[in-house]
Amino acid sequence: MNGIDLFDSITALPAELVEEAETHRFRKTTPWLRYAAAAAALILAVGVGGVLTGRIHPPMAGSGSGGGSPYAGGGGDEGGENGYSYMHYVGPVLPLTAMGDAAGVAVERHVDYDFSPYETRTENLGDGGTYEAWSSAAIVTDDYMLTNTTEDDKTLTLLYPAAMTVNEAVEQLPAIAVDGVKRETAIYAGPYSGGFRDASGGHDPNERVNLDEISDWEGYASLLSGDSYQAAAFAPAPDLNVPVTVYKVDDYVCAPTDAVYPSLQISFRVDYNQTTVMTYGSNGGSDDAQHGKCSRIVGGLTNEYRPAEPMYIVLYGDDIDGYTLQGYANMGGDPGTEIDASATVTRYETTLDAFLRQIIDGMLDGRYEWQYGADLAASEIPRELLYRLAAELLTQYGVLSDDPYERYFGRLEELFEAYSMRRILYLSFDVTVPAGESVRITAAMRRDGSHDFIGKKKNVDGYDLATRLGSTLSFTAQRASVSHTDEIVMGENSFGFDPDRGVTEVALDPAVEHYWMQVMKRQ
Amino acid sequence: MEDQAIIELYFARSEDAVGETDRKYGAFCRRVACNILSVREDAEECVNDTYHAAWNAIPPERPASLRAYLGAITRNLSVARWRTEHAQKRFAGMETLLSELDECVPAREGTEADFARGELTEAIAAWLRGLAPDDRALFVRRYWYGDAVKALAKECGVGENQMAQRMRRLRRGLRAALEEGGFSV
Repeated sequence: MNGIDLFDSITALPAELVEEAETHRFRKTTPWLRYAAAAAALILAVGVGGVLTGRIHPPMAGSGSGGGSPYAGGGGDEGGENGYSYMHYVGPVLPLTAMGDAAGVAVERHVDYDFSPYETRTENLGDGGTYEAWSSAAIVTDDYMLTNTTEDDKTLTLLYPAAMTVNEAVEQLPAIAVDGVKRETAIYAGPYSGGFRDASGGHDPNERVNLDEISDWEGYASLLSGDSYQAAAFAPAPDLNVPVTVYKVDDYVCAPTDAVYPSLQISFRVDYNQTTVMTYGSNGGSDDAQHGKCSRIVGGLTNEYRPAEPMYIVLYGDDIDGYTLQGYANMGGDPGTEIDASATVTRYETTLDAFLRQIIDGMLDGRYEWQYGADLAASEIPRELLYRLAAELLTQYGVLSDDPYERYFGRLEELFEAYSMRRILYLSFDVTVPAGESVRITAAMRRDGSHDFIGKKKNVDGYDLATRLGSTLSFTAQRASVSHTDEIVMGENSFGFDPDRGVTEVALDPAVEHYWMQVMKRQ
Repeated sequence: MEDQAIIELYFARSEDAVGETDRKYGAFCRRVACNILSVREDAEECVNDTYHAAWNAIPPERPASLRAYLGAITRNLSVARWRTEHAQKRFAGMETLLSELDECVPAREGTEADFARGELTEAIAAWLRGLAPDDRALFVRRYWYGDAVKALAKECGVGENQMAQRMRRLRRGLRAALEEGGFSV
């Protein structure tokens, strides 16, 4: 038998199956959970004030600094061989768009890249010393003049899209102004824009263990080629108001021991076909689906620098019939290493939604600051958006999806990765353009340069621009400029910039969808 | 025009039979052919050959479903053309469909086993009937109609990657069902 045999056999399928498929209307909902009716609860107005102070610490320990996904597979394997493919690709500056009818509104656009962050500055060390620093970033001002050419006033719902992670958004979320006055916006988030790859960098469908973010313009062109991506940002969130049984393991007691890393393990029998096991606060464990055995372990019971926090076993589906607790000298949990340790186990019932909110609040409010930090709480990213993104990760790729990706195995700490996954955020606001008049919209933001980590282009920063990708507006003219270029050397670019010869502003060709440039810090 | 009325035109050997067929099912047949052959001119020839085949077969045949009947003829003609000319590697659509269906072939056992084509069709049909309606329709749309993964993703309102992994899951399910049913290489 081969594929041809199957193909021929499929040709002979009964007519009713063929007919049914032609007229079938697909459900456009999350397969696992019905959509909640409370979609409006996810839409919160937020004040966008400008650049916030402080860095974002990553939500997962050891995940690197804010500003780039630590799990990025470095999708540009070619390592930036061409002008706009990078190991870490920030994404293009995307154009303003409108929801609904924008006919009769002519738009002119001017994008300016201010490279003043490349200027070397002196920073103070805590001990009185100083060091010199500069940033590979540009302050981008994306300016629009909307002119209503009709005889009626037009009220538009505008969306300013920004390709970034939630973590980056803390400091880089665009500030919107209308005729020079700051404007509040509602933030929506599209799905994770990348994919997954296997450990060796390929795309084995049975080993989806690493993030594979978009590495070049073509990826965004494909992402936004239709309207489904933007629509997904406005779709109702997954409904996690489903019952779960929680076993909270707390109040650890450990007899005096010279064990290197006293640990406590909880073990139980479970039917994996009937129950999905999730955990929070455990450090390890094992799953034996064949024999229905599950264990989770937490270590450092007596570590003075790392006080033990509760471990939670969260069961979606059937409850368990009991459990056993056993202390071990280390996290190996091997026979012969048993020690005298125990804990209080409290069983309670709640909803998955309530439990997720509890742990996300805990991360944000600093109860688990020693694990994940709390900088994100200082931001103005709506908390409801953070809940939603975690829920989406759990139901689209995690253990509650139809086809869980191998990267995720039920440790709910995994969900914080949603905040470092690159996506497109949409800033929504309404504007009325009077008949025959114009309104000016300005989006100001900091954009990091795209770059390679190694290779011949590792000191090069890339900045991309999309002229009309994903926009429904009618652009009559677009221009671009660069400013504060004393600290940079302009490399190859498709704009036509040559600051050293005085070419700092250019008109853009409306037929060209993508512009790019490479710059380096001037030595 | 209703299918019965079109079929009566064939029985009456009316010249309008092919015209009415083309009017109602021309776009459908072209879609099926293009999804396999990817070259419009070749697909058009297969559609025209489909009409010839239908004219020669009806009567005495009286298809219960003209769509399924014509689609099956078009598929068979298209794949026959592909078999003849695929060395030129011009037919990307068929290559992709076949490579995906290869994943559904049950694992090799110790000895070769014969199978009746009809039995395999029945097994696939039984497996399909056990699926949720969305999954059933997706499988038929992909592997009978030949619709592209991207198009199906858009229709379902999901990303292309998500649809691709959903199709992989379905193929794994068919393979498991065929193995359980005793089909083997």
